[in-house]
Amino acid sequence: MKNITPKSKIARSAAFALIVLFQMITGFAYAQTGTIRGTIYEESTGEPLFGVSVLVRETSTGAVTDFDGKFDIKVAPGTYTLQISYISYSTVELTSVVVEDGKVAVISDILMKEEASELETVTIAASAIRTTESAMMSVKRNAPNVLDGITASTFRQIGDGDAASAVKRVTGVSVEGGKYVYVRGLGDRYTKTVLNGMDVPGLDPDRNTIQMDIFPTNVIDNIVVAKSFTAELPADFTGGVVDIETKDFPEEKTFRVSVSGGVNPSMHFNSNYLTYEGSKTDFLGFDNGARAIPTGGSTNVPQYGEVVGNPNGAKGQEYQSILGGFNKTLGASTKTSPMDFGFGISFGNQIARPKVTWGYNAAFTYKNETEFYQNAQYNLFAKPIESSEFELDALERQTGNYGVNNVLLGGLAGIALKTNASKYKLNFIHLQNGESKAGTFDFVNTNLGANFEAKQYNLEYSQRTLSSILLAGSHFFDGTNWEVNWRLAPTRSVIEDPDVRFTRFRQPTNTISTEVGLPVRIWRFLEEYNVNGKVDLTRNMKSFGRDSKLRFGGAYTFKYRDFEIQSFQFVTGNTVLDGNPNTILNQENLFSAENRNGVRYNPDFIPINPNQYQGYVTNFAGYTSFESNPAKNLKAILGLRVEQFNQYYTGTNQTGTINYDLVEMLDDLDFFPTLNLVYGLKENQNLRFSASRTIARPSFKELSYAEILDPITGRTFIGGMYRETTNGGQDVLWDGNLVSTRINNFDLRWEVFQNRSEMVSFSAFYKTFEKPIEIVQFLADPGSFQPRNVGNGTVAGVEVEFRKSLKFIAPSLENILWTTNVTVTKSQIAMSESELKSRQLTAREGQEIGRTRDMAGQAPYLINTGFAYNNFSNGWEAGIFYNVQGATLNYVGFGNRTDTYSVPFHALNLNVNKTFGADERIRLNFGVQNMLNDRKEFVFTSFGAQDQIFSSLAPGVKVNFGASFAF
Amino acid sequence: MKKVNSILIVFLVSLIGFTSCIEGNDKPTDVDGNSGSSIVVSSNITTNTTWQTGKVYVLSGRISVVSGVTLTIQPGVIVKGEVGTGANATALVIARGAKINAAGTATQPIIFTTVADEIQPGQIASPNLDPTLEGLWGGLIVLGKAKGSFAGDVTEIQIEGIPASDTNGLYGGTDDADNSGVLKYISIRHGGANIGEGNEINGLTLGGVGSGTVIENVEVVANQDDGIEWFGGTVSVKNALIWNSGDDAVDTDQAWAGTLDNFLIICGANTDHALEIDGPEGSYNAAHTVKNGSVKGHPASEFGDFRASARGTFENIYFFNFPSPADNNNAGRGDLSLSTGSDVTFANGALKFNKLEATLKEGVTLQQAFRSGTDVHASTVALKANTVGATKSVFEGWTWAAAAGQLADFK
Repeated sequence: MKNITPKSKIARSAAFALIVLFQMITGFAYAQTGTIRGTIYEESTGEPLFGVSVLVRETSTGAVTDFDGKFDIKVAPGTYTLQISYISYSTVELTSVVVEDGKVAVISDILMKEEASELETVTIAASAIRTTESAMMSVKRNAPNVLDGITASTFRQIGDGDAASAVKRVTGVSVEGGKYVYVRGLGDRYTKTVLNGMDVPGLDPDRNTIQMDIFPTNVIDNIVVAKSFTAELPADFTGGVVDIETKDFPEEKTFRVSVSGGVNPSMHFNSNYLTYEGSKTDFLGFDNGARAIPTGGSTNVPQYGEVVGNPNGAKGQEYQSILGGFNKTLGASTKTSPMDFGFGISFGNQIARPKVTWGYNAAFTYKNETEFYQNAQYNLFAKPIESSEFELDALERQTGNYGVNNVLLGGLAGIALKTNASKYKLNFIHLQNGESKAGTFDFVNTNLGANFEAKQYNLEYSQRTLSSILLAGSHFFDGTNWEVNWRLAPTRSVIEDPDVRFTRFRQPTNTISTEVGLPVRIWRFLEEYNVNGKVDLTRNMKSFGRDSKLRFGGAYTFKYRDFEIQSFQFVTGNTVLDGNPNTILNQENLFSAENRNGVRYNPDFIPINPNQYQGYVTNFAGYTSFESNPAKNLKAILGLRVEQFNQYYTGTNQTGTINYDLVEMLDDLDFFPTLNLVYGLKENQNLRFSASRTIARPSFKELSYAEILDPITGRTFIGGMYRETTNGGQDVLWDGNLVSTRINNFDLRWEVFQNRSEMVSFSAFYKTFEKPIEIVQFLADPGSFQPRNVGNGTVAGVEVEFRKSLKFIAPSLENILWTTNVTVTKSQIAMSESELKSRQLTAREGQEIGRTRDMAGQAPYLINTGFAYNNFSNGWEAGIFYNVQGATLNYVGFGNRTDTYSVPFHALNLNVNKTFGADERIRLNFGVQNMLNDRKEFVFTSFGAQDQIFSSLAPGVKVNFGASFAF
Repeated sequence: MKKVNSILIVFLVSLIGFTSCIEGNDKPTDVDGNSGSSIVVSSNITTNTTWQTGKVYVLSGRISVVSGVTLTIQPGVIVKGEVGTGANATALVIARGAKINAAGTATQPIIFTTVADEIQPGQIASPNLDPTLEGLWGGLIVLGKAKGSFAGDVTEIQIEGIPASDTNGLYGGTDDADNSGVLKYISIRHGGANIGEGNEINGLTLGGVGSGTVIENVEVVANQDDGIEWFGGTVSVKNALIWNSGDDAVDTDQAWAGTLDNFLIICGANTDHALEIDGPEGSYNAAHTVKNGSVKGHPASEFGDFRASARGTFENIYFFNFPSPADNNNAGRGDLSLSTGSDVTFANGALKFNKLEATLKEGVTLQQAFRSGTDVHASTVALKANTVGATKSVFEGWTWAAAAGQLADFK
């Protein structure tokens, strides 16, 4: 499969793009006159209006909008009034349109209202129209399904640097670990993230969705979160599908350079910061090979037992050469921590030619962020043996400091062209992210029949790469009666953890043994290719005497994943150690003919590597949906999607007795009906109802015979195909038959859209889960985790959202907008048999064990609230936002382990922007994150017991600042 | 436009390329089965099998004798584990419900070692490996149906070193009289391959083994983890010798309810505790007896650590050649200590000591060596003047330790 790397194709396509760009910049950069560009939408549907006449009063020149509702008029510099008219619509008069020589005046959001009776004229000043959230609101108001979103203008206001922090602002969205999106508190298993409407490979083998933090906001145009299903969306989401749309081509020529910085007094310029020597290219977000595996990744590596008898034989020489090749640094060193910094460049333009309009844009971003966590804690607590005792016992306590340096490099380039009936778009995106971690911890163990104190050293590096190409086209036939959209997107993503190093010395003796854990080195590799294609056809027609739409189309997804871990343990033999981790691998300590009981490596992956698999997925989808207005105020969208999903797996178990080679693990043919009703109670007031069926499928790893041991945590992941029984095989706790989860979704929403930016909505939702998958611990071995279908579950919730200008208090507060969204949910899941049994066995005196509990990862409530100040005339924007998520079940407790819950983190962030010049030539921003200086904590909870820390981190207060300049 | 079309074609071609190879294969049929004549043992033993005198059997992986099956190992057999660590650690597992019948003799012991060992039938000492080399293969694991005291009060549990997906690793039940067979004159060497932290294979692992099982005359040499570890169960062991264990020599957990009688421990450079005695992990309580032992220390070793509300009777044990607890920056080596609740069980009589003797390093007091009040049951004696301890004669002739002259320091 690897010969299909689209590298050469990328190179060829990139060369083509460059030529086009060059021609456009040199050929069309000089204009003799000014330009007016704009987009006109139908107010009630939010759809672009085709064939609208736009007349410049003063010159009597004009244009007619194209299928995108766009127009383009060349005029001499001056101030004009535009007269916009369309049959049976109120005429719009747009005054004070200022055109400068060689520049483009953009009026991007003109709405026209149908007026059957009388020809009426609406007059608006051009300066009053700006791209703001109102564009998103009009999409929202008119969308057939329930959706929310956030646009580029809001990223700027709030000052979020990446998609993960930006998307948190959306109603009902939370982000776990700064990376993974939860919609309505449903875990990432039930949330899907797509890029430009297309599946992209996730960058974590344990997750279904992509890590959001690798998308810098300067390549994003908007993020739309659809919370109810329509037939043209992929069926494997339940909470929501998050669509990251990258920037399309701009309306005017832009060239912008930005610089940014951040200072966290608790983390930066600290001389105790921990780091280690990595590679020379770490600052670019990738390792240059300095962390390469000394075996070259070979699985034909000599083992100690094969060479101990003959150290100087051929194999022995090879063994010693590999042994000497391992990097000798195992411990962190101190350095003064730098502050955060970054810069970005973006540029683009649109060139209107007589028959074709060209557009291009490119963005490049670099971020270098440093974190230093002091007194970080990671603990393990358990219930005491006697059920009459309540307070938890400590099993392991780990306290120490660690430093993290995160580098993100991102680039996006796109070209687009539009003819009178077609539009094409070609986009390249490449993201590179490298994260280096170094930590030193004090470790106290009172677990596993082992009591000891130790000093622990961790060094880690993780690099992620995503390269994606998107080719898309839209075609209109028969006026705009037929619309055809197609998209094709190949993507490659790689995640590598080269040379994770873990060392622990027992204190005070400075010895290393199996009891404290042997030094470990791990190389982890995951590569995934996706190819997605889809075609959507829309037929605009009349039914019930009103406009209606028939949509149908198909999609195809292909996925290939290759996953492998190679790990090595280091036995120190009779070597006398001094407690310095960096001397363990000194030459004189290593195994040799003279030192046969010296330090040696043991490869864990020979001859069988159960930590390795390949998987393929193919998914064929087809759908049809019909959107109509059976009554005047009622819009109904009825749809049906069908997906044929197949998953194939290649891998083995630990003992090598099960060897699967490209075996079909999943063969699901499902029909997904969907109904969306939108009833217009009044103008700008909708009542929505939707019902649909969706699916959540097990991942490659879950539906496998994998047995993946994490040598650092000692936890083993067991594939879902194995059974578990108890009582000598009499009671079956899990039958080894992992299946997809089918979900029924019901949504009800009442919404009022007031002025351009004000709105109120109330939603209620209810979901039923048939055989949801959760990660369950083995009853016989709490250190082993397995995906299993547990009992059926339900999630019910309500959402409230409003955006309200403070004008109602005093007119002078007109520019202050109060935005709030609150989600409250109640989830319930029927426990698996093994969990129920385990909870009953370890119940405390007086504790009652029910058959149900909260769904893991499901937040009971989410609150986002804040005030935004906007004043376009003086260029000030400011926002203060508060965000909190209720205590959420994180890990499900088992045996004597208890449940862990997140502790609500109260985030209060401030951001201020000031722009200078009419075209925002200079933009400055300043912000403070985590103003309350809260800690991020998870705790163990148990009946009648005080909560105990599971993990605790202090992110500190961070001050951000930045500046950008347009040329 | 032509350029755009050509890119489109490239994509379509790659699409076809990607998808053309998807032709799922069938699930492989189980080709497991033992011919019985092969000397390399590469799959689980699922029918009654005999390994014959004079032969060497190589374990190529983790081999389980499955429930209902008996493996008979004749005297003098040598069993060698292939190299491998982590998931690839080789081991012989006598699953719950299976039996091992390994009755060696004083002249023909059964030896379990690594393939790196060039030992041949008839030899006692390794011709090429030092008795300090550890972790070259896994070990011998015997599992049974007897009771244990498990965390969370479950009735059965997975033995460490075997992933939960392999049900041959389950042990525990309610049959305290369970019989897992016979182990006599066994020498286990160079094992203890590490799986992960707190997840190791011991020389001889006894999980939930019942009192119907006979275990006598066992030697464990250079095991990377513990020499012999009991996890619950009721089995008794007589005449055990543990030399150069990597962690603890004798380790008891989960309320083992048997007796260890007549044992000899020779600590090595990596030996942590000679005796590591843990209490019950669940609400079920039971206790064991450890008696008639002689223990030779090493500068980094401790007499014993009794913790997690340890229970039982420890008597007639002699310690010598240990360091001072003040040595090595007060490392606390060279003593017998009670921790995490064992002081309570000691006070209430659930943990008993009787007739402990020691030859202490000069300057070390009895209170320093036998802490938490246990000194009242101990006395000091001159070297080799001990009145209690192991009978070493039973280890002569068949153990590597005896062949290497290691018993000379014992009375």
